[in-house]
Amino acid sequence: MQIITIKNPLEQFEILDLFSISTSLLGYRFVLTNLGLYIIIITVLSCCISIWITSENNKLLLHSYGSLIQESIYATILQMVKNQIGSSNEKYLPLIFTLFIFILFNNLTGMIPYSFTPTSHLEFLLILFITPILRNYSNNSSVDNNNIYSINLSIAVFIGVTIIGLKIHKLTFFSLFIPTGTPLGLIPLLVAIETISYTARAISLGLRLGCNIIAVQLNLYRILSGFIYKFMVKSPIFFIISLIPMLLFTAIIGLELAVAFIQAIVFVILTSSYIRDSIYLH
Amino acid sequence: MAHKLATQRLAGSIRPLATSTPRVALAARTFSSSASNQNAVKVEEPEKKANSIIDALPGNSLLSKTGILTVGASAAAFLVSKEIYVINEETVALIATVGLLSVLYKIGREPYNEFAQGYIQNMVNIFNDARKEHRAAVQSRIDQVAELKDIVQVTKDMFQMSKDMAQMEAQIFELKQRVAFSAEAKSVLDSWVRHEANLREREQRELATSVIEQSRQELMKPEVQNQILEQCISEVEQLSAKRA
Repeated sequence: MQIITIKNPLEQFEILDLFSISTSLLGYRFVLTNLGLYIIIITVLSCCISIWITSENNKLLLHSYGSLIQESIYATILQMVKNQIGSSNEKYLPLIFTLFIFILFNNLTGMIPYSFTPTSHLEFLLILFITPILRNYSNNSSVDNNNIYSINLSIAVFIGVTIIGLKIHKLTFFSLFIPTGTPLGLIPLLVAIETISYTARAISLGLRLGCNIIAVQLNLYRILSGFIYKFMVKSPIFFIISLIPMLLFTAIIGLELAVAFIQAIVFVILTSSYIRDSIYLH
Repeated sequence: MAHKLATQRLAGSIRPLATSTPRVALAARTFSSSASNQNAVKVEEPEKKANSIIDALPGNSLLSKTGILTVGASAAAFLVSKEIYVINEETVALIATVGLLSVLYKIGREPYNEFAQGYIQNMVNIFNDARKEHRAAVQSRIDQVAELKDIVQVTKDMFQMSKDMAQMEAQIFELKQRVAFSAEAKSVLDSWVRHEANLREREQRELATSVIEQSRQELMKPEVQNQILEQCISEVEQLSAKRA
């Protein structure tokens, strides 16, 4: 009798405690999780690669092949910022470029087998950036708050965009919630609708990225590889036949690669769009 | 059409092979049809493929390649048998990912290299053009400055010329002053002459007027009138005496 063990597909999304520091400060225990470790690795890696490629140019008169890729990405993001926010607001380019590179590296990391995808965790994009690195437990309660990591980043963007709007327009910023030409009677209703719509950005921005990456990681990548593996190990004939779905699976990984790029671009385009709304209101 | 294209391609590919290797040349002589040419190519291709696979293995010689391959296979077998490495669905994902990246690398390497080389060549051309323009600009400046190599002598000549001009201007000014003085003196003398002439004319007029006036006064005197009358009578008498 053959015993088949089926692993939970969500196992890969589990956040594990790797290292903890117990402190008496307010009764909190700070824990370094696998998510935090990956974010640290990705941040260091992306910075090191960028610095290495850029520093290469100090020794060369002409571009190296690596810096050509980076310059192409830079030019693309610059053009996008100019189109979305305007040429006079290029000061937001470092933010947008950093966001793009960070999200792209996070997405691409998920493509490496045996690795972990931080952007597939909604919490990462939702709540403040530092929380996934040092997760705290209040009163030693092990609240399982997995799969909400993704919207950390989008809330940070939302708060930043709102601060930009308030700084530029002061109280006039709230005219964003009243469309021009609204009849007086409809103002309370529209203000409520617009407030919900505006606040929903904080969730939708991260949710879009997180759900796409989860969908690709969970449905296409992990489940399909599980099926193909089960098919392969049945018999040599099945192994040979399984080469056909293997080709399809390889193509799907190509799709995942495309999704990784597209979602990073979508995130920064929407961030630029929100910044533009805050600067120009209507 | 596809058959025709395939035949042409095979014929094109067999041509250099026929000249290079006696074996293929023999095959080309033996089989004249296109189908036989295709067989000849099929004989050659696996060798190339095998060689390319062997070349792709790490190591310099065939012996080292074999050794590396054997050690690698043994290590893999050991890791799998001891369950140090467990083959599972992640292995499938690993193979597919490596396969995809290899394909992308193979497909994308050449176009990217061409793009990068083209871009870099474009930059090189820009640099070269800029260098040429800079050299031309520097050369023209050098030529421009070289024209002024006799600048000391030219400056001395110009200084001498300016001194001469200053002297001439001084002389011109002096002469102009003299001419002006002469003209002034002439005008003064002319006015003096005119004054003298006017004065003489007035004196003569006054003299004539006084003479006429005196003559009139004399003529108005009876004695003078009588004397004139007597003189006239005497003249008349003389005339009449002459006629008579």
